[in-house]
Amino acid sequence: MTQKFLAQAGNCADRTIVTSPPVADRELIDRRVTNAPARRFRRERRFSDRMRTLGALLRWSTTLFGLGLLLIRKESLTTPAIIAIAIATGVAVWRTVRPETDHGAAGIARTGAEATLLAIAIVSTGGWESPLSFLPMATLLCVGMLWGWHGTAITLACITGAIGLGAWVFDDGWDSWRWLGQTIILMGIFGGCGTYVRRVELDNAARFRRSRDDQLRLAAANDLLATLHGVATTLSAPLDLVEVLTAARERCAQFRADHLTLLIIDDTANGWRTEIADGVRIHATHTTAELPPMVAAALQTSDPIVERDLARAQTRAFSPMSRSAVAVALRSRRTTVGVLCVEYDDLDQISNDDVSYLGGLATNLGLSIDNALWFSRLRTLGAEAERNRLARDLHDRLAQSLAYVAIELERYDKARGGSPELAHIYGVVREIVAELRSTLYELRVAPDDQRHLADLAREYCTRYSERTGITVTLRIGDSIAQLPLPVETELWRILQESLTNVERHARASRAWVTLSQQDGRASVEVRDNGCGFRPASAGTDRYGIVGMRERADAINAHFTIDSEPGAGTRVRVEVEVPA
Amino acid sequence: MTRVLLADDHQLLRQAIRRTLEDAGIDVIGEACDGAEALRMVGELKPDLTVMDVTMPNMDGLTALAALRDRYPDAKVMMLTMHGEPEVVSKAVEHGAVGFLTKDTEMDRLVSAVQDIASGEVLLSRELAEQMLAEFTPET
Repeated sequence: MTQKFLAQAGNCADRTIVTSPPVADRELIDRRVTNAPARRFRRERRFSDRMRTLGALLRWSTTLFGLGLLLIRKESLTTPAIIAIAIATGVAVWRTVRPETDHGAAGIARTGAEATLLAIAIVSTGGWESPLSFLPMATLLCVGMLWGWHGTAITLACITGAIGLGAWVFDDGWDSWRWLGQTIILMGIFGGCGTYVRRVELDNAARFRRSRDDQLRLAAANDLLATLHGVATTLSAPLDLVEVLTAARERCAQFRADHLTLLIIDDTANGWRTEIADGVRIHATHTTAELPPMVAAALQTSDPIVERDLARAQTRAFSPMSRSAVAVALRSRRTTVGVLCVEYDDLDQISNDDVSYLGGLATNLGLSIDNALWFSRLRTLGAEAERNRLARDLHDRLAQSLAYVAIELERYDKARGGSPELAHIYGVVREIVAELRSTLYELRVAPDDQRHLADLAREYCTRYSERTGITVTLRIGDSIAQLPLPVETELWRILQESLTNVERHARASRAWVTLSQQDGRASVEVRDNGCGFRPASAGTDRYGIVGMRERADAINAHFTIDSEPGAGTRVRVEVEVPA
Repeated sequence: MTRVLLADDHQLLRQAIRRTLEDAGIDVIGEACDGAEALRMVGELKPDLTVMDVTMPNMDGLTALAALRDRYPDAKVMMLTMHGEPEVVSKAVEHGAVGFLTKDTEMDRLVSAVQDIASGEVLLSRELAEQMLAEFTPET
């Protein structure tokens, strides 16, 4: 997963400014983080291996030393001594070829056998005075490394007891017992060395485990950061809500959820608007009271709400099929702008990593959605502000100046007895002023708290018919009610633009305007009996279609144009309204 | 002779209207470039009629009309504007305007309107009167 997201983050770096290290560098850092404890562990392993090598060297030194002494004293080459030599050599070869590493019963048995064989070899070559009495040192070193102080003490006691028993049986006298203390001390020292090595190894292993755990946590955090970096770079860039939602859907694909729902706040309806509903059938709009309990709970907290068993928790998400789910509020600038719900048809499908990722995703997604919503509002406000500025300019400069020209021409004409040509000219100028006044009215007038869409439509259609000569039939549904002001404003502008198109392009004699509201949907339809056109060949924005579509998008309305040459045109915009 | 005060922020247009009225024998006793100045000059000059634009800086014509009628209930004001919207007309009438013409009106009509209003009549342009009538007529 890390590689995938790192790769995605790398791709994003082509388009956006990336402040974190490049992918290759980050992977190098990962390797450094991963390798640091491993190197330390290897160094410590080498120490333990060196001690084992030292043990083997000690074993062969003591063996060869003992054998050398036995061979030098030819008179002592008796049959038991030869057997002892064979035993000592065999044990040395055996333990060199297969050093003991097993802490279990088999290891204890093998080590016991080794100690017994060495005790036999020692007893058979003179007890405590035996040249082979140094052989158990290597054994005790290995025992100390494997079993620590306890193993060393037991082994030392067993070997000492066995040799002492042999010495007592064969009664070599107190001279032989004199060696006892020296041998025990030497064996004890080597056993202690082995125990020390064991402790060092155990400490190292514990440290390594801690380092490894730390490294795993760092790697997990690194994964999450890389993932969120990818999310941030892909989500925050677009200001268009559709693009943000597309990116969000792609990011959520990694959850492999059975149902995915994303609602965003709808200022115009004082509720929630469904933007993503994958695998679930829900209403296009919701009030907060209509939200499922789990989703409503998520709105109360900044952390994801995780339910691994919805039935057991006696709650529910959007889909009735869901058995586990996670929901998270999308926040930005301390306000909630949406909510994301990931649902599964099976129990306990959400990993902790998924929850962490979802939390980070929600932060970025909330900001991106908020930015897109603000951009949309600003674009609408900007269009209105531009419209007002244009109206002001038209009024203050053009209309007033033309009125001045008309008055002065009339004065000039009358002062000179009157000329039909001049009268025609200032008559035309006066008509232009009247046209401008009409345009100013259209630019300025918009729905407000006193005058709603239906009121404006009545007034406008009357004026439009008088001005253009096109007969307009206005139908207003009985059940039409006031809509949220931003919705009415956009519908009004679309109606105006459509009628302007009828006047300018349709060559129509009649137009029909219908305002209706039923089944939770409000619609505005403008139809004409004009020449029609092919929408596909209408060019980029010949008829203001792009602007009308953008206005429809701003209120989440459905916008359609049906037209063909010779068959008139029908523009329809339909928007869901709160019940 | 009828004494008229002109209030309009567009200087050229104001002067053109002044010359037209003076050609018709009407005495233009002063010119104001915004509503506040018109309010002050009405107090000083006591015109028979104030011809006032709606859209003006500092104080717009409708606000000035309301203030003027409040201070000088006998003052007569005729609105001459680019705005022919019914709500502007009805506000002007509500605030006490005795006439309402748009700036695309022929000057003969303006002159006769000034003279008629100065002699005590109330006047709305025909188009505006029709609009107002349509506005206030209940639908059947």
